Amino acid sequence: MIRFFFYLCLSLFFFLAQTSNLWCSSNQRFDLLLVIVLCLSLKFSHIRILAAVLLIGVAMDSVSGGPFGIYISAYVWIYVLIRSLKAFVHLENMVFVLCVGVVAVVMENLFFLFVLIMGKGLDAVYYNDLVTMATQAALSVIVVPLVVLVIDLLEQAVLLMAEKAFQQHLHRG
Amino acid sequence: MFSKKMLLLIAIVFFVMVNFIMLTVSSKDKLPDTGIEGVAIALTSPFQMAFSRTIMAVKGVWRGYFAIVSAAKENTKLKRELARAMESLSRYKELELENIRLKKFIHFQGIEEDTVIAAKVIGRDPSPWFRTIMIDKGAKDGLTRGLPVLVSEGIVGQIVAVSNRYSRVVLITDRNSAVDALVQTSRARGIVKGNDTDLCSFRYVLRKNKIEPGDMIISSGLDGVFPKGLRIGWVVELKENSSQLFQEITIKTCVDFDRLEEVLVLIKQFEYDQDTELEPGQESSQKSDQADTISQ
Repeated sequence: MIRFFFYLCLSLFFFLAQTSNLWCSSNQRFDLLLVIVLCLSLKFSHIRILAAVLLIGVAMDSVSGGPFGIYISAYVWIYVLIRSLKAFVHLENMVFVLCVGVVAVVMENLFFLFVLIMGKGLDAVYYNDLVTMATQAALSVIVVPLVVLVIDLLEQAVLLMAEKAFQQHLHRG
Repeated sequence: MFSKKMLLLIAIVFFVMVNFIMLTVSSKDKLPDTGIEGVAIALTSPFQMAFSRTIMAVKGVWRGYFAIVSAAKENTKLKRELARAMESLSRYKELELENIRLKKFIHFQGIEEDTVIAAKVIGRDPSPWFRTIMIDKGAKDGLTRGLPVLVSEGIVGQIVAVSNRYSRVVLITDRNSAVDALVQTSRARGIVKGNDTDLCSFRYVLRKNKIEPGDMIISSGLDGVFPKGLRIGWVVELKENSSQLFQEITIKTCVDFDRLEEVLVLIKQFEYDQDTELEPGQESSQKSDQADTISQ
């Protein structure tokens, strides 16, 4: 339950930070919710996580100017990919997290490219889009492992605090 | 008949196909509105609004503190500027009166003052692939799809989706955006198209038209969305290719979209278009013809 609230608050914070005026330039946006999806898919095996991934996708689709369903599709496929890879690779491996992060970002950007080509044709794709894609992939090399690490540390701290509070409550009882 | 693996494979292929077909249909705006998006906007936007307002309040306090420090210096400077402005104002008043007299003289059917609705920017597009913003006014405030959105610096964009209390605005820098425009000095016509960067392209301008860097681009009013004469941006780069019919012009928008906090939605223009039985393009060209007659 604590973990559920932790991830709910974190997702809400990332969602608001990403869509608010905090970010200086529109070109340097990085999808932080994607890291949440990665974390959820990596840490939990329960199928209910799929519902959470779907909800995050719906929230992102509602504020995005892209066609509805693009974030849902990207997140669900990333979830499916990680779930299928989890059986083969060790979770604690940071190289794996890094590789999965880059693949996930490229996958998400490919979805954007796909809807763009389907909606407007090849003429709508500019050189700048490829630069955006490359920048996002390069950013993911640093951002994804770093944010995953920070989330992991935060989660551990929150769980420890909750445990202490629970024990204190028991002692008083 | 089929093994489990085979069934799984078929299911995956089916799911992939359905997913990509749905995305293709959705990207062409042909998917019927299910209302899920509206519900999602209604659920997420209050959080966005609260967060944006908190940030704006903090920014306000921060700016206010530093503003006091430089206020004393600015005060003297502004007093001088005010004196000059007052002088200009009296001149402009004279010109305005003269303008009214001339309009009456040639039976000009004046357009009523456009009514605007002020709205706050509460959210931005999370992806760098699309350029949209969310504003805190919606259908309840009289907004509808297609209305132009402006700020004092110039054109911001157009409303593309409206829920009860919130609306989504596609910026002129988005690749799906296009504004009929002209060069303020030479009156050369073209279309301002978004590039998904901070710069826009000014397309379909004939090579015979002389354009120079720094020239101001304004709306022509012929698209039936934006009124004539609104600033869009200025020319920063132009390439003339002798093998092509048109010039390649890059413009920098007057509006700094990264610092956008409040916008104005023009609603009167739209009502005007609806009331008249003319096509939007026809109506706009009539207006511009009238304005051109005046200027001549």
